[in-house]
Amino acid sequence: MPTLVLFFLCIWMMIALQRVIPGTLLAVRMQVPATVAQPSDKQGETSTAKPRDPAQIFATTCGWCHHNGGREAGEWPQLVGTSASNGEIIYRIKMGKPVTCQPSAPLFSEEESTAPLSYIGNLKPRYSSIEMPRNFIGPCSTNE
Amino acid sequence: MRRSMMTRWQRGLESAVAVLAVAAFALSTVHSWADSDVTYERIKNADKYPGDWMTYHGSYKSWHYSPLDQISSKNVDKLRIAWTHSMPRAIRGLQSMPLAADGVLYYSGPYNQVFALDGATGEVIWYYKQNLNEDLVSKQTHSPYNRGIALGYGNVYMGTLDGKLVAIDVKTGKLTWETKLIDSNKLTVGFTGAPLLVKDKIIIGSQGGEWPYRGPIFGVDAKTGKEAWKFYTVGGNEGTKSDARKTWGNDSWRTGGGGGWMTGGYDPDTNIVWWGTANPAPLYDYSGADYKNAGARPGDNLYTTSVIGLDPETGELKAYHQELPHDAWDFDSAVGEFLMLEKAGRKYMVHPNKGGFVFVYDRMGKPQNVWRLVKNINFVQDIKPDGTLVGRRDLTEGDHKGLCPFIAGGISWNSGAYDPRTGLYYKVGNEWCMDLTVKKTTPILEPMAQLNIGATFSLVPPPDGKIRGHISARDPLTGAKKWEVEFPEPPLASLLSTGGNLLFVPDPRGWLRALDATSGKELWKHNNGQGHNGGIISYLGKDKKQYVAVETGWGGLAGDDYASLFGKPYNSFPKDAGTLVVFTLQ
Repeated sequence: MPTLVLFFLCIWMMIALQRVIPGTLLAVRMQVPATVAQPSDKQGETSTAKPRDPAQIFATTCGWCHHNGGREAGEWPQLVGTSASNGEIIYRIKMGKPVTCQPSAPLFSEEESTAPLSYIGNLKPRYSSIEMPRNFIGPCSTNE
Repeated sequence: MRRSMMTRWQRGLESAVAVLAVAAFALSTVHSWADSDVTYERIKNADKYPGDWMTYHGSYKSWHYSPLDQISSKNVDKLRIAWTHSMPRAIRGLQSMPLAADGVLYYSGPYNQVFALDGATGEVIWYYKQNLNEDLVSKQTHSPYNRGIALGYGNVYMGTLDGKLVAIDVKTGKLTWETKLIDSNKLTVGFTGAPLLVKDKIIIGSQGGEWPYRGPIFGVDAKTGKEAWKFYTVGGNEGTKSDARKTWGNDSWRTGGGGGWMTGGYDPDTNIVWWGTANPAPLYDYSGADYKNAGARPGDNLYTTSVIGLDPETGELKAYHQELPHDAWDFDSAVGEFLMLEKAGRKYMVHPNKGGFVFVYDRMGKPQNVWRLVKNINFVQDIKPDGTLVGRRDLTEGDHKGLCPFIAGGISWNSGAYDPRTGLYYKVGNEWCMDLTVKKTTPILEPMAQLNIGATFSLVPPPDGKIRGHISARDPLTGAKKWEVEFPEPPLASLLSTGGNLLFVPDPRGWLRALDATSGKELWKHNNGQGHNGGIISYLGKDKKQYVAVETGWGGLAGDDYASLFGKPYNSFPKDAGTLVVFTLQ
């Protein structure tokens, strides 16, 4: 409340001051957020000119959520035997799924976005030490 | 003439008053804090404020213990819901630790939202939502959750998904300042862990691990937001005694991972901030036994999977211990609280490691003992009391069966609790293993950084039976077990011990239980309707009643697997709901 009183007092004073120094514009200093620019850093860079092997891409990025190289559901669906069309698969690779499924694309080149199709198409089941139920449709399923 | 002089005098007076009014108005808008606000001194003397929970781990002792005893083992059967509060857009549930000070509860959630609520009624005092780069957030994997906030200097501090540290006015919920610390557009990662107030600095660690950068930890001026220092967990800082880039062969430090994505601790006696660092990248290496010379990142890879002691003023490295040299299994030291204990006149620091071992240090980070919380461990045969690894299981390219524990860890990132009355440390341990196929990978940095895992894998049961979890009451220094309760699915939430001889255990199925802290006997339970994967605290409301607040909501890198692994109830949990549930005595 005292701030409000001061504010209106200020406005009245500004108007009054205009009579003394016509044309004066009083700028009231407001608290503004300070944004500090990030200092630049050197970091290593790795050349990725050649298209990457899809199996390597899988082991690099996709395998955390598509378990057993895509043969089992984990956080994301099982890919072997998928009923999704090629177009749907490429779309998911490029766009992920809003809200519940973070994509790795559009981090892939156009060529790399389609290369996993042959990898997925050639996937064969390979059972781990003890068979586990794998019939869940995960949060990033194309069926949802 | 007299008339014009009086007019000029009046005009001059108007000018002077105007200047004073402007000055008063400007000063009234300048951010200020009062003695009643949370301060470093208050947190340091948290014992004198039993009704508050002012920092992520409860106090600098990191006990996750509330001395309050209105709610006790004698009357906990009368515990009922007082109020609830739901966070909008709570993708992957609530994973943070609420804070409470002077009867006000503060908590954060997904997409960097923060609420201030009346701790007795749940009424909203203010709501803050960060203006995020959502295009970037949509490309992140360890996202969009937030693990917590810090209080101090009239602010609520939070790290954002897109690499900033923000200060929010604790009374109004308005942004005070924001400082960009990480180029998240390029590095993809940002912050999810809660910051820590130490003296006049806010300490916060970046995400890292399998994300190929250098995992900096920052010290930021708590008043101005100016970056004061930065410590690279990968390779240390060039030109200083901490420079350890030579422990990364082939310049692999450039994409080494690291980071410190959970909240560390602070020892006021030594004035050292302790932080657990994350794993190196690639997560799985193909070096085999000759890890010092071969593979993707030859060498010990300092200071990943370490506990590091930093000067809070300068960020200088004062001490460290690398819990897992050349971590080849993703068993971060980033998880885990730093329990500050004293026994028989000696001071200790107890820190659990993701691989399932618990390290006992002196207050300068020298290992005194290492004990096993988890039964199924074979990534090493053992770790000696001085921290030496025995019988490492380093991996080569190709298939490997039955590596234990699973990548989600024998110990996960939520906190255990210590009860000074019982002298017991209560901690969740998980029994699960994995098959994996290790493959050579190349770090991907363009157009922006991607995960560098280095293997595909699947979860398998441990050799001794079913996948399961347990909560055990242990001597924190020796690991001697007093009692243990088993869970069919590994619990993933934090625990809370209280002065009322209670241990509160939020489980993944949605049950919140109160156990007798001495015996482990179940005294009370209530189902909150969805799983728990976050924090739990106790505090006094303005009505001087004791409350217990627990976060609910399911999802995350570990929890997202539960539906396919275990079926119900996980396959029907919402993926975007999080509710704070608050209890008090009827």
